[in-house]
Amino acid sequence: MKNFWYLFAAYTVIWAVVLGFVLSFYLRERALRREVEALKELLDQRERHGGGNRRDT
Amino acid sequence: MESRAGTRTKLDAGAASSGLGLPLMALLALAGVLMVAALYLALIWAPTERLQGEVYRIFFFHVPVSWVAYVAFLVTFVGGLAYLRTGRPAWDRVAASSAEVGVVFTTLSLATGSIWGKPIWNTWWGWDPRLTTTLVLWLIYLGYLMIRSYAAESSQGARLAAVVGVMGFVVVPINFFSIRLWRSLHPGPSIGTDVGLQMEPAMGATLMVSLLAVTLLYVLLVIARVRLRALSDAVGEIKARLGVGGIQ
Repeated sequence: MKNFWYLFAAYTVIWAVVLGFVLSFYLRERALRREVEALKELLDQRERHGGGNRRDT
Repeated sequence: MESRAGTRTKLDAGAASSGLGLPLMALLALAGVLMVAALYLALIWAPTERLQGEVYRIFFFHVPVSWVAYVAFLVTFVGGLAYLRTGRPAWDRVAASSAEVGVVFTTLSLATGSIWGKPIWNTWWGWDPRLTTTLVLWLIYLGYLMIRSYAAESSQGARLAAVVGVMGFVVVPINFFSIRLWRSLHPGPSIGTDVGLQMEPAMGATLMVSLLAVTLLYVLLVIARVRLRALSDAVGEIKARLGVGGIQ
């Protein structure tokens, strides 16, 4: 097939970029979820010790 | 000030926000089916073009990503205007998310156009009006995203970016009409001409399915990005309230 490699390259670029973009969403969401868990833990610690940051109350 | 229980509720809501609701699942399934159909039609079903051969099949995704990039920048324009008027962060999230997806789609438009141009024009790039204005469009919205990233304060960055997003939209109609206004290496319009569709019906049907699939992909990517931005903003707000910087 004439010029098949250009066709293959174009479709490969499209799907590589789209999948990379979606993967970046997943990684960013995973990092944010870890932050949420860490914040929950911090809040638990502050509640257990009865003190904490006054700005929060 | 919000109570600690309120902060916890926000954290729990943030943790639960990743779940896909039924409408979003249905949209995702529809997009998947349409994308598979578009690939089948574009690569197998549509007839081979007489002069260009198989390489013309790039057209079935090059045109939809270019059109949807226009839609993305239109949404950024509207979202930016609404944000400047109301100051509501939700508008800014929509505008910024759409700009990000628009930049990705314009990158795809430039890349696939260049790959298609090499065997047809015998060059990867030419300073033709359509190609040049597409590059300018890409640079403007890349600048929009960079302003947001590098601004000292997020609200200041959002306002500045909104101005760029609104003013930068001027280039979209110039880009669209460039192939009618100036002599161009780029092919003329194949849809919206005086004689209707300028291609075989099978090619036109394939283009329509592909356009629908790429539009749905855009909608899903913007929804996902808006949700991510909302979660990120909520985490930032809670961190500021708790008086913590980076959490390991």
